Amino acid sequence: MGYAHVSLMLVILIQASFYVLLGMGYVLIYRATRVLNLAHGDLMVFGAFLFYQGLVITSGSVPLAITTGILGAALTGAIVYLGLMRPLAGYPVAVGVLATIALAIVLRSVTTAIWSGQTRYPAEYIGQLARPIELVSGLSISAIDAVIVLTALICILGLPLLLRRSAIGVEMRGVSENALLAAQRGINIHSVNALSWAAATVMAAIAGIFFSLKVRLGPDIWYVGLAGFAPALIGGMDSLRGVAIGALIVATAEVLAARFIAPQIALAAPFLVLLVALWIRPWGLFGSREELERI
Amino acid sequence: MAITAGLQVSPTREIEGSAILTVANLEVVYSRVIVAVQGVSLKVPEHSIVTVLGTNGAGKSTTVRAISGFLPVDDAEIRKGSIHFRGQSIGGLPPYQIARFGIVLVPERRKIFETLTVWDNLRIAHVRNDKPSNWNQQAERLFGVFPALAARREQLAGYLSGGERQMLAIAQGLLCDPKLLIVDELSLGLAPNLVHDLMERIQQLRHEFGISILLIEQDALSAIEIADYGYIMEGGRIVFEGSPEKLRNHKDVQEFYLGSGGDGRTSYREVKQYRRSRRWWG
Repeated sequence: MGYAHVSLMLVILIQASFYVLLGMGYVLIYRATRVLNLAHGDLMVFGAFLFYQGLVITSGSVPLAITTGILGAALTGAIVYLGLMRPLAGYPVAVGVLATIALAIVLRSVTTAIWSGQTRYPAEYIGQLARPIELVSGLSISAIDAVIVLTALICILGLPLLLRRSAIGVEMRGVSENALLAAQRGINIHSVNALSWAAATVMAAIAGIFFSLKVRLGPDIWYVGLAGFAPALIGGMDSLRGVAIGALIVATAEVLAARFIAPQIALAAPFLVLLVALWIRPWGLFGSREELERI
Repeated sequence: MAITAGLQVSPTREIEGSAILTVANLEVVYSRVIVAVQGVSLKVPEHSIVTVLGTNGAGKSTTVRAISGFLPVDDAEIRKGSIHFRGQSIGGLPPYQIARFGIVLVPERRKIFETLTVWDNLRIAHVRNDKPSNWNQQAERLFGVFPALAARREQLAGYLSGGERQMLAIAQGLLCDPKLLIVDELSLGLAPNLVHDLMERIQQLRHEFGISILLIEQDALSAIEIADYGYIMEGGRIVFEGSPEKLRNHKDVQEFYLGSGGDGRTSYREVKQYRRSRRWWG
């Protein structure tokens, strides 16, 4: 068993990848509307259920189901911004955060009403994805885990580049810094923000799809999505690269706690780390100090 | 007293040439109670530079906000009067629509995106200016007028000096292809020689881009240098207007706004007294 420590690191890496996907969603929304989106977990569940519904309807076509989940999530995100967050622009940030709590509860009951509280296992539809891939002899990773790590890697490398270089990315950053000036310079700030919300909701849905394939699907898994704000906050809330570091820290703490202390503590680990981080460096690793008051 | 003696200021008075912007009898009220601007009338003729001078709290910024549509942000509204841009009434329209008409504002503060590079600051501006060829051509021309910006293309705008920020803000505004550029406090926080230099470039831009410019200024001396016409605001009213020569030669204007009076009366207390005594005017 010479690979024990390596496989432990692999578990951490997979968990961190999952947190990267979730955390970046928080950051995208925070940058657009300066709001900590506490409905992210429920948006994640909703997206995953859309994916599941796609699987049921197409009787197991993964590409179609993923398309359903992603398009549905994008639409949901845009609607949430235009219908709920835009009218709240100009009010104190706390109002927006409270609105996301209300949204979370509404989404949760809608999800339960449509799909019932029963636990599903979408992985049944795609048995072959659970097959392990042998990296080297004695060390293997399941196909779904490989996809999770790969997706997170693409996001870590791709999203910052997109924000830095592309025209829409520059507009997003401009709107985030000074919405008034952006509006004056001809940018439709509401469509830019709606796009941010859509992108963040898609990322939540992707994380939800992964979780539902890997573990299970039910309206009760929202707390998994909520845990994603720990890496985002540790990273600094407005920093995408901060999320990657934050995710690694949180995942390490969580996996080690589960392995060496007690599995029950794993659930609390992200938040324990968050508390320590808030205590030492409340503006996050890569966040700007001025952002602090706005959270 | 003397500042108004012999001068008739009527809103219907014509300035040479056709006006691109006409503000008539504007009255702006904050929170439905506080009157910030009362009976202000001004005109900006085509291809001209017009300046509105005045001290803090004179109502200059409120007038600018009324023109550019930002009053609702501060819970203010136009209660009387009208604002016409090229014959169309724009009073009370939202800012983005006014921007599409071709009125571009370079605000007093927070005028650039500090977290973006100089180049990104420029390419983010494209209202009305959708044709890439036209945009690129204008960008090149602007780099010609402001070579300092070309040199700092890839730098974050937050690291620019005050003068460079002002240049960037003006360049950004011009890339929106305005017909009328409103510059709020060009001189704010800048060294006098820098202000002088910027004013000259404003004049150059007027010719190169064929635009009209409305300069809102506290620094009357440098604004009068390049303006074709000037208004002086005080206490929410226009108290004096005229050509630069007229402004420069008027004794009281010299004393209070150009700081170059000369009868030895320099006590600030007396200045205040003077102002209070003619508050009836309007």
